[in-house]
Amino acid sequence: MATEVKLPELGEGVTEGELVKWLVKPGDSVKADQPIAEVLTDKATVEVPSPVAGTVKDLKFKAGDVVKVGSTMITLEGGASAAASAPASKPAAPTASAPAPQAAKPAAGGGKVQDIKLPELGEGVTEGELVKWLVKPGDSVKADQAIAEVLTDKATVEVPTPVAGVVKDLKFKTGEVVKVGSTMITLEGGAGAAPSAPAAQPPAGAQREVPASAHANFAAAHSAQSSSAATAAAHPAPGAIFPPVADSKVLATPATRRLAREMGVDINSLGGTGLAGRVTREDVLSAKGGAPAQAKAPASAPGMSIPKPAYQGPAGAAEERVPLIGIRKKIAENMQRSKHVIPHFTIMDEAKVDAMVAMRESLKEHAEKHGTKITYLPIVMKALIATIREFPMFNASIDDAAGEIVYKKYFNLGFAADTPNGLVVPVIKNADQKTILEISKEILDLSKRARDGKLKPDEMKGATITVTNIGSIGGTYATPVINHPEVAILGMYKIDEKPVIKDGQLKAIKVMNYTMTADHRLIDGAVAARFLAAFIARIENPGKLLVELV
Amino acid sequence: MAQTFDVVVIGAGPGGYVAAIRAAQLGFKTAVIEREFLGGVCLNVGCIPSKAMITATHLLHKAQHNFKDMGLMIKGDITVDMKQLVTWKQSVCDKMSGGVKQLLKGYGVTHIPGEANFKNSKEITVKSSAGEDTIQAKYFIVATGSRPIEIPGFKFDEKDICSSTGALAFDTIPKRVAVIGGGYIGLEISSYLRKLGTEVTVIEAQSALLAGVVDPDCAQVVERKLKKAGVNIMYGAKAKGQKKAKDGYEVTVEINGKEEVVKCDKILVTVGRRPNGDQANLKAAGIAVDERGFIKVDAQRRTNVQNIFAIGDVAGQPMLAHKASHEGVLVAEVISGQNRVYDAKTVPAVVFTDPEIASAGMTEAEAKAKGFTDLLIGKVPFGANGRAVSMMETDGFIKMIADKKTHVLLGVHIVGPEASNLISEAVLAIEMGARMEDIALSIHPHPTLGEAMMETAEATLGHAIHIIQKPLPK
Repeated sequence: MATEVKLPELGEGVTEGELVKWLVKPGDSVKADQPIAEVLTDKATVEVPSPVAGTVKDLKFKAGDVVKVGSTMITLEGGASAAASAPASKPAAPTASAPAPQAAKPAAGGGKVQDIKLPELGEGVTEGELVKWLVKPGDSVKADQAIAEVLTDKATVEVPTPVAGVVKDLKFKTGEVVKVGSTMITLEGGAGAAPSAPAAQPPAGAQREVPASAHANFAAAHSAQSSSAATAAAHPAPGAIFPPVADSKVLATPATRRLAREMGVDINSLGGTGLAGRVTREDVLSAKGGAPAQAKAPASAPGMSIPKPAYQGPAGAAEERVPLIGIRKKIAENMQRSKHVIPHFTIMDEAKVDAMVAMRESLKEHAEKHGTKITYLPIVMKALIATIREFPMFNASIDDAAGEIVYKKYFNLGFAADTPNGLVVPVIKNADQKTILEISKEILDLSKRARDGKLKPDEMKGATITVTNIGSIGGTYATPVINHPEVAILGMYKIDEKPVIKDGQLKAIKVMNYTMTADHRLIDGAVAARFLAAFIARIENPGKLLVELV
Repeated sequence: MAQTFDVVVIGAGPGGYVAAIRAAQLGFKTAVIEREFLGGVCLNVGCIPSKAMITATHLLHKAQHNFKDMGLMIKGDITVDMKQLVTWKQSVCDKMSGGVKQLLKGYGVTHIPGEANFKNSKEITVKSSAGEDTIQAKYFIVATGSRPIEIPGFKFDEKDICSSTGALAFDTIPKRVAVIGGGYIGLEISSYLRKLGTEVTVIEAQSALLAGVVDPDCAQVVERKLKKAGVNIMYGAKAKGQKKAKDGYEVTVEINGKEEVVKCDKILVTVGRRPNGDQANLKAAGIAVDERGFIKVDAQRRTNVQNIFAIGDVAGQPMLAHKASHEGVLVAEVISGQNRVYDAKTVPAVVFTDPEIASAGMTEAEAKAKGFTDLLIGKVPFGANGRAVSMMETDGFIKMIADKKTHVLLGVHIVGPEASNLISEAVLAIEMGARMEDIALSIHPHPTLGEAMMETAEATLGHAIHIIQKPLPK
């Protein structure tokens, strides 16, 4: 049986030492307490003894290496039995009793204790917010049983346990953000019950190898890292290098000056709002359109300083407080970010929709034959796409960090879906390449799964523009909030009858209201008005869509 | 086979070794070439050893002059074992230099002893006792520092005719020393030699000491104290030459058109330092050097050659270790692609005379020249500070200069005990754009010398407590 001999505590505050000399070599037999190496710490050289006897298997460091306290220095073979002759000669000799301390805590049920970690939840997803525990301490769980609901991006996912056992403790509270790989719960008695879930946890021994092998890889990793760093540096930042400002009259702290430079803001051009005219961090951020991003951070990077005012109610008992978590919190954040970043404006108009209503009526039967039904939404989407082809900026995004407008040549249409959990926005990908029937089917499917909370994160990502349909509920006009980083949102409202006088005769026609809310940084009022007019022209004459069909 | 690195730093002084460590932290494969000693002049023959000597002689001076008043009696004379003092001083240097070695090793920086010379902008040769190697790198950082200026007729032998290097290694207490140059190095060494009992004559070409280096009011305090301690100071004096005499040396000095002779055993020449822009064969890489010998650099400390940077003394004034270190970090970050420039409002300067002088920001004259026509000026003597009185070190004062319009701090000049430590608060305040109220309203601990900073800020506003100020007109 192999025993690992670690570098013990060498004194108060000493965390590492330099390996000066090995006093043993592989194959040597060592006795308990025999020095195995000389280590230099803070100018004193100390001899490190082996707490147990055994035969040296290998040396984990080279002379000159810096060894951290607790790192494995050598492994000994046949150590355990020989060690019996040298019990407790060193109080700090946990290695004599072989298994790693963290894995050795005897569990009440006698079985092993296992950490259940938050698994990978999808590409690019690094964390999620704990919405709800589905188990509590003392519960028995089966393998694959859901233990918690975790909210990522906008989808709530159920996290299963890979193994069975008894829940020992829950490591997070609802509302907390859990990183992928963090231990969520510990299970007792897990080992035997989970033959189907191998390697949920590496065995303790393997885990303990990590420091040593990591160290062995250090040199390689280091040079690999260095070559990539050097490649990056081979292309020095092309952006403007602002001259030093310390000499100018501008007052700003060193960190603010650096921030301005990193964001490409000429601090000399800013009026400071701070005391005595200081340029503050906020001045720099707002000069950059409120986008706090680092050079390459995504536009929706976290870290925006959104105010967090407190609410102090007058009557505690007559008020109920519940945590703002889950989808509601996500919606709140998204709406706030959007309103913070985007100057919104809305234009409204009315369309005569008799022709569209008639067209839909005439298609009902056809749709039913194909196992679906047609709503107005897919028709509106087609009209929207055709109009965007005329006005491509409505399908764009602003990359604030890079100072660029990104025009998208694909059409992913989001539609705001009302669900019991709150607003979600599923996306019809490449809607321009799908027929109205296909889109209809997809809308029905996505809406149903949205209501059931079964959407996958990917199904709510990557919209280029969104349509919100409030008409089914009520209201004549609204000012919807843009789904940042999109730059526009089309609102559609309920169909109504309205009297008009035509050829001297009072007549009832069907009308539908539309609104276009746009990002005023990119889209001027006149452009939005033209856009809406062009869109309504298509709605009023659906035949146009046919003519434009590619 | 030539060795290849991402970054090669030439010179392991306070600029070079710091640059190398930062580069390694950023993931570059880094080497540092050093021909003499790790830590450079600063750790080995400059800042650190001189501070060791100054500390020891300061204690000696206190024991001789203050202890009796404080009731601390010493039986017999205090004597100095100069050999032990120098040994101890050397141990301090060795400890520091060893620390640099450990750090470089810990960060995986390759230390190559030897002298570097450019072959072209991508290659250098390194000559050492082991032979000559060629080393290639994507980036070079030149941190070759500076050396003492020699004047005609006074060739350094570092035994009798010395630069600071030789003076810091005296293993017996010299009887008489002529110090040519009343700048900060000359005066620091003069201060402690005098405390050891040496007769010191300072030969200064200008009409004041530390002229143009520090606030003249501050220089005066030190001048008075040197004179009181018995240092002989010659103003408007030029050292013309020296010759060996029967006992020691005779230095010929021209003063007011007349010649005088200064008798001494050792001659210390501290007339300044010159950048090593004439070394390392910079020409072969095409690196431009100005007429004073400084490598020309931009705000990112890049030379005219894209992949070569220069920092520290060789890259321009002020020739101070802390400026070099700051540039070292800066350049490594620039190389890693970060958008950094040298953007400090102030580089503090410290003179370790008795008392110490330290300054940050503008002097009164500089502020006026920059267009600050109306100034607030406050001055508080250490005699009004309880801690200074209890230390029996009341010489000196703190002076602050602020813009009258905004009350923003522009400059701080300190002469007095621990000026070198007190100045850090001033640096932070200036960089942060502090107003006088910010300093005055920050509670400073009592009883400390630092309280005098708060008090001086109050003085600029006209309401210092521990000095009597006439009310300022509204």
